[in-house]
Amino acid sequence: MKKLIYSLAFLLPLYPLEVANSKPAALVKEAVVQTPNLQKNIQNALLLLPEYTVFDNISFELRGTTVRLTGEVTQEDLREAAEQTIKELTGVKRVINEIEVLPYSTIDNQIRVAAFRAIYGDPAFQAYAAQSVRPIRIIVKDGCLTLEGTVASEADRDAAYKKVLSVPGLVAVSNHLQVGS
Amino acid sequence: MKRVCLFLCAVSSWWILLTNASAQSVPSLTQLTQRLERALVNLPGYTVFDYVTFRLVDGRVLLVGDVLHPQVKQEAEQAVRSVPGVTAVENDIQILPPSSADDALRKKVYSSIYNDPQFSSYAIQLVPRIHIIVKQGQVTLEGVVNNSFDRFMAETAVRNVLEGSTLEDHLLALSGDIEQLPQLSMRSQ
Repeated sequence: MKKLIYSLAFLLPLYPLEVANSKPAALVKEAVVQTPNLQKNIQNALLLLPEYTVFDNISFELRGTTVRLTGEVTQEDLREAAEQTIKELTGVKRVINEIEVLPYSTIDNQIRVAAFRAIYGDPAFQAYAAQSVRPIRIIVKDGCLTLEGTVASEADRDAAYKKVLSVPGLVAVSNHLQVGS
Repeated sequence: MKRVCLFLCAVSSWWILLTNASAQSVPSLTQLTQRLERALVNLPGYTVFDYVTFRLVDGRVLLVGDVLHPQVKQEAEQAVRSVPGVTAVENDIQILPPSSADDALRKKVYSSIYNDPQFSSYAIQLVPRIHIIVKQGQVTLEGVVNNSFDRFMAETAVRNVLEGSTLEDHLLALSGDIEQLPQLSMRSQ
């Protein structure tokens, strides 16, 4: 009997660790419950990267404890910083970094600046420019411009598109802006 | 002898369990600061004309700053309350009084910084780091700039459009202002 008590005293504390390793249904459920917080943490951690500009667009997909980073950035530093930052988040065990670094191009840079001024320099878009996170992103690659992000109305979506059409040097424009709050 | 061994094993395994649990439940100051910064970065309705920051003492958070809309004050408190490791929140965020004269001044100050080519690297940032607080004609610059030179230039640019209004410069320079760096962890960006 004493042996049994000693054995239980020894084994009982180890039980939760074993459970954690084997991930039974209850803990998997807990992980699923935590996912919305982790999603938000990942999103906000990316936003706080100081290198992140309106000319970059980073997306992510969270599956369990694995995060897949995608999108396009203008600087290699940002690509690396994004991976490092997400790796350090509690709840993330693996990061697959598929962010593309856009090729350096003087013409693309000129298009970026002109498109930025066309949208964010327009008084009609000042409310967007003043937001704590600028909602319209301008991605340029080989003369092709893509608008990413979210605007408040269909009219603003169309207006942003028309604004960038006047930018010189453009090869093509794609409007991926979504309407939402 | 066996009993002693078993007893020691039991005690050590309990100790490992308890220390592991406490290590997971109590975040470090750096972790908690990061979590708070992340919670506050993307508040609905938060603009460069608002500024929310925090003081952190033993898991207790004091929210301070100025915002245009009461909803932002509430959102900030809710966001911070949901951060693991926060034990209490005191919300001392002030609501700025509505004023068309202040609104006009905000636009002028915004333009003096973000439309100035020498601040283009700040203008294109996804999260603008210079915040402009205007209250009854008094302008306060909050946030972070790269260095003391940028801080000086921002202050100069704003002074050019003030026309009698007063200016307080609370900008934190990341370099060339070394004595302020320890405060960085206590401020949201």
